[in-house]
Amino acid sequence: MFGRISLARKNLLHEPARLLISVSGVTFAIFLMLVLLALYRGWSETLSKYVYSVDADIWVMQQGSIDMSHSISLLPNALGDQIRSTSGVKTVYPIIGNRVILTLDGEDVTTRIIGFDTVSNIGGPADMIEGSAVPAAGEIIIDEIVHKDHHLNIGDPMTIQDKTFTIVGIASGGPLFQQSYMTQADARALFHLEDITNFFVVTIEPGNTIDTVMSRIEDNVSGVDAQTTKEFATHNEKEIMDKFLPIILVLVFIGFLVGVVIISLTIYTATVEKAREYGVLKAVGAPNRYLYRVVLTQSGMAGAGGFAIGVILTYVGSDVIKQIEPLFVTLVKWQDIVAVAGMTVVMIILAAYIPLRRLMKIDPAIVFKA
Amino acid sequence: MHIVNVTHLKKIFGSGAAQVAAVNDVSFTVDQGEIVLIMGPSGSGKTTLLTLLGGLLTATAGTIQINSIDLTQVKKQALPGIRLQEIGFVFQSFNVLQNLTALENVQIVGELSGMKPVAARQRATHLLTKLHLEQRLHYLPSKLSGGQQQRVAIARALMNEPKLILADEPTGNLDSRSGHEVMMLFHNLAKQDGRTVIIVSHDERIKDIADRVLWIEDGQIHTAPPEPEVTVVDPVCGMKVDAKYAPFSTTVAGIVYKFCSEDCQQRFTQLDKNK
Repeated sequence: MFGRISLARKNLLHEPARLLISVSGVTFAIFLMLVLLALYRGWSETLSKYVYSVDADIWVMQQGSIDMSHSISLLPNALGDQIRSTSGVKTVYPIIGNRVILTLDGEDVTTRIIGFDTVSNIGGPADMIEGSAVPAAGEIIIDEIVHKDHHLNIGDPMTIQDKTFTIVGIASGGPLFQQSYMTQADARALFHLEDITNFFVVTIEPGNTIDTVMSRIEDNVSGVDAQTTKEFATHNEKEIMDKFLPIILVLVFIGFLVGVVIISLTIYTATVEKAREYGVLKAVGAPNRYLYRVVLTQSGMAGAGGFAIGVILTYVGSDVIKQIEPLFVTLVKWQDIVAVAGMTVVMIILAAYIPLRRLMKIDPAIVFKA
Repeated sequence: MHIVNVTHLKKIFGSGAAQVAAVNDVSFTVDQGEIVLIMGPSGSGKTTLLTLLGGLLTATAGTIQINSIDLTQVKKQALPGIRLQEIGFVFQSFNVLQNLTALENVQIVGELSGMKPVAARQRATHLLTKLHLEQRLHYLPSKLSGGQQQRVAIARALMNEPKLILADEPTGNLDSRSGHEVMMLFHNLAKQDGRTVIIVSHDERIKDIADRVLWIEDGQIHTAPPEPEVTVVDPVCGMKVDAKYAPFSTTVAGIVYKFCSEDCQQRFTQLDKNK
């Protein structure tokens, strides 16, 4: 509608220090918001990564049990045969999964020990960093966080409750509950669960639906609950992440406010400093909408610049921090980038509000004051 | 043809006892191609009058017609458009935008009025060339002299070919030579291009190019300043006051005494009573 002389761009570029402060502030705010969301996503994914990695359609657990962290599931081994005899069931494998507290370098470390069937390899590590993915008797696969924090390597011994295992592999783990893997026999012996299993994982015969087979299992086998893999994974995420989400959202909101305040302050001071020039434009006949556009464009440029650098910094910074701190597990999703882009637009509009109010109050008659 | 037609114009600031009539029942006309110089002491209402003529201030009473458009009747939202098309402003402190080049300062006004950027650029270049700034088109104001900046401001004022130019102390910040150059520019704008120019200034030199001088004092227009011989001495403070326009007077024993202020008048009355 108007000409191509961008007063907003010219004003911003003639004040590089102000532009730098503004863009840096927004970059920080965007980085903070995206990293927090990426951490939330990363932790959520890590919490359910193991469940999804197990080749199973259905997880069967003690009635009333819901996940691997906040409830105990103890099932007699004999139930495995009952489940196997249920119509539509193809395979059934037991999984032992219990948390233990180890003392490493004088520090208490919580880890979840998974005992899995090393013949079928159902329930083994989701991702290996190095070493063997299939432990033999007396061997253990440890988590990368335990490996890095306590300098334990392949070939080193590791003592758990007076039993010593040899480390044969290092698995990619989770930030909240590191997992170690051993044979099922070793796990049963460690936890004294010779006749007990924590979970049964089930695959179904073709031609059956998961829901139907789940109902049959719950009808045929007393004292158990069955969940689809997705349900079980979601429950494992939910129990933890529901407690984190409000905190994450508060921190994201703080990041948003930081962005609004920084853009608003820099654009406001720029507006005040240029009050006379805005008065001149008003006097010569520039309509208010043109002046509003100048301020909004300035706010938009600072916001867009900060957003672009913030996104790049999130990707680069997350990788760098992960190298230093393995607990810093992030997953940047395009949905979060879109959401933060939307928040940046709101940030730009809110930040322009106070400068716009100042602009409205500028009296064009100011031009006649020497 | 009257380009400016002002009738019974009044602008009152404040209310009650603090009420001040900055412009008080002013009427005058200015024709096409005429240069009118408005002079008067500080605080006399010159700038208020210019601000009213520019549609930057709302009149308390009266009418202001610019090129047959009554500024006192149009909606406030329409005033920027009228200023853009009908009036060119030139200011004492130039008021060019510091982050735009000379060319951009002029071009932007054309773009604001809806001209295509290329056309606006061409016209701005033409105007600045006409004002001998063709070597300074891409200079920022900080690299231009005061006279050059004022010529940029004049080019900006002419961008949309307004019929009326309003200039506030246009030579006030210029050296003698630049001041004369600017005066000649105004003279040419009126006499060659047929534009109407109203200048508010203390600069006596501008009288040389003006067709008429309007003297404004206490918000009222006079055709000339009071003659020196009609001043009298305030008997209390000793200041010279205008015999005709002195605001306070008292007659004692058939003699009329004039005072500069109410305070002097009251002190005089008190002294007279104590005698």
